[in-house]
Amino acid sequence: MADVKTVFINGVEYPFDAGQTVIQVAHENGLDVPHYCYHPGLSIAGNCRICMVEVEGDAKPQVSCKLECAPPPWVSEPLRIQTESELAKSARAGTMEMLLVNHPLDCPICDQAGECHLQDYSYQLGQGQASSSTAKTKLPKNVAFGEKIVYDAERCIKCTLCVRFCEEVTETNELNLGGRGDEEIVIMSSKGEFETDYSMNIIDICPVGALTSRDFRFKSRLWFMDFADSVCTGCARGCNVITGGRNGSMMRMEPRHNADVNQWWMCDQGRLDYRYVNTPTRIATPRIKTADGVWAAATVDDAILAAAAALKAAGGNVLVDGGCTLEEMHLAQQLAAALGGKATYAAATGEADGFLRVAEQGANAAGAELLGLARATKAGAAAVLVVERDANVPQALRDGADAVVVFATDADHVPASAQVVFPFGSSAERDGLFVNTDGRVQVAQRNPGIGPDNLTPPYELLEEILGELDAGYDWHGRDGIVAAIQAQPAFAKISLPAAQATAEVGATS
Amino acid sequence: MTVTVKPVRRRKASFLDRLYLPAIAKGLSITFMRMFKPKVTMQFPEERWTVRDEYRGMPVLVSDDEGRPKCVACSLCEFVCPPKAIFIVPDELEAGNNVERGPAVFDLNMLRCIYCGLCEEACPEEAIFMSKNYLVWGAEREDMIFHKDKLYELGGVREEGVKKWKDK
Ligand code: SF4
Ligand code: SF4
Ligand code: SF4
Ligand code: SF4
Ligand code: FES
Repeated sequence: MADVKTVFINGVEYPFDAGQTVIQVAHENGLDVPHYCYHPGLSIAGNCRICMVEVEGDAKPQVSCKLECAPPPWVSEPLRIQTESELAKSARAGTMEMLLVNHPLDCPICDQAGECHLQDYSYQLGQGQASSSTAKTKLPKNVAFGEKIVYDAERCIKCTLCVRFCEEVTETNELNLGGRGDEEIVIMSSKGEFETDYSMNIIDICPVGALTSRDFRFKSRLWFMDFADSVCTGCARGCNVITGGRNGSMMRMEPRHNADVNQWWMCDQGRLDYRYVNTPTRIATPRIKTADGVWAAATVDDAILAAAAALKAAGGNVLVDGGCTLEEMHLAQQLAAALGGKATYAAATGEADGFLRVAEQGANAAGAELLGLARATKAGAAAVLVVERDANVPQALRDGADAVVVFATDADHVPASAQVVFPFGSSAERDGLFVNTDGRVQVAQRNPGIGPDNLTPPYELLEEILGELDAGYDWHGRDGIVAAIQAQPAFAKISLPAAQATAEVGATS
Repeated sequence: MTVTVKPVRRRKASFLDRLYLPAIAKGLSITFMRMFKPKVTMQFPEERWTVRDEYRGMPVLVSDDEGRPKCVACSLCEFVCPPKAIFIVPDELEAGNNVERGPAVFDLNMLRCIYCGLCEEACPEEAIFMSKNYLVWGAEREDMIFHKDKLYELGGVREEGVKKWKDK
């Protein structure tokens, strides 16, 4: 057998690894070959036929997702593939036409519009008129697949990605294909609910709008939303995500590919956890408690002065949420030092599920340990309290701390002892670094479409307060803070990304 | 660049001009002549112009031949509207409706609308139309924001055109 190690795609020679198929090599090299039923994280089914390419010398096109780059043993020359030849294009156009014979063209009412492969390829390859005049089949719409997912059989192209996900990734086998021919649909096991807590990933991988999220259903058009690369703070795994928001509300969270952390997936609990961001009791402006005990909205500058004055009088410890960024935790340490106290962090412990979710709930607990913050286990006095989530800093800890300066997301989480309150953004609204359970440093980016307008980043507020305390602290800015953390011995073997660096952007499919 | 200024020579007003009386007489004679000609002034607002078919008046929402609201809250008009006059909150409709989705809120701000007609052009459901209504007024700003019910009332029923969800 000749040892062929390369493949020609559109005339360019690319090397390949043993077992790789043409579509994999093409995607790796930035070539766009259309695909529905292919997903890099699942087995290859080769049933949708949209990925057809021409193999030079062959009369018929072949599916590139299943076609191995290694030529058959009796051929000693590399395969020569054309992805954009007339034959390849007409094969795909034919596939598109067949797919659209029964597709309802629901785009005006379909949540997938804007991120739908069928819509995209239809623009590229489709024709304006159908050649078939038969009536479209009527199939069940708005079928509940458990509580979180809505299935629309008319939109489904039977690519079996969702079925394979439940077979291969979660191994819970809730879905299968049923019926025949035109009437073929995806059916759910008789239990009617998913056993896995990773079910919503099938919404992301479904190439069309056949599977949509009950939670996000009809909430917003994609093209009105802002997106940002961030990190889930639901547990210490730190799955890479893309946050989506509009007009100050967070709309959804979707996984972002990171081969070393979460692959393509995230758990449903983390995905739906974002809802705390939209609580009606969000704090939007700083507040100061007046002499007669009522809260008054204040400017940021006034609040900083008031906070510094209150802290000079009180002194003491700082308690931060385990979901704070490295920058915030580092400044909390500086603040505690200036106040003559200690900085601690609080985080809940949940249950690991053996896949992604880990027991540690403090998204940056590993970072806190690296910085040398101790874990607060029971209530103890703290002059400054930073609480993002109720789960990490529960009421007992908040009330027990007797804090005078509080950074909080939700007004309901502000203890009665507070004198000055600063609005604290949710994890989707703050830039910063997180260290996940495996010691991996990850970047979270602020999504401008989420949260109250003009939120001052907490690290700026903390620096300002430190400056007012006359403890000899110089303003650093975010770059300076990251550099100061990097200079610590515990971070000698870790390289922190520069503050402006964007998070690693993975392929979404 | 040099600018050349050309002085205009003005004729000096004559004695008759300065008297003004001939000009007044001339003006009054036109007024008198008009009194015996047919009237062209329209008694607006009791009387209204009939506008041409292609006239673009205020955008309104229409119902289909069975009286069902046609808009599915796809938000394409909201997206295309240049001055952002449209605000939509989509919602899920109860089972039994002809379509799954419709607007919970459909606000049209007529202080913003520039009558461009792009909403009508963008609508895949033929649910929004430029009506012939050019008389849009309000005593307060709030009155100029038309809500869904009012827009459907103004639009009425439109029998022809796309009826995509009719049999759903
Ligand atoms: S529901 Fe989506 S992922 Fe599942 S078979 Fe249909 S099109 Fe494919
Ligand atoms: S496993 Fe943890 S980090 Fe990942 S999505 Fe779930 S809660 Fe978030
Ligand atoms: S006519 Fe133009 S400006 Fe007025 S609502 Fe429609 S798109 Fe907007
Ligand atoms: S474009 Fe038509 S269907 Fe879509 S929201 Fe506007 S009026 Fe409704
Ligand atoms: S992507 Fe290759 S056949 Fe579906």
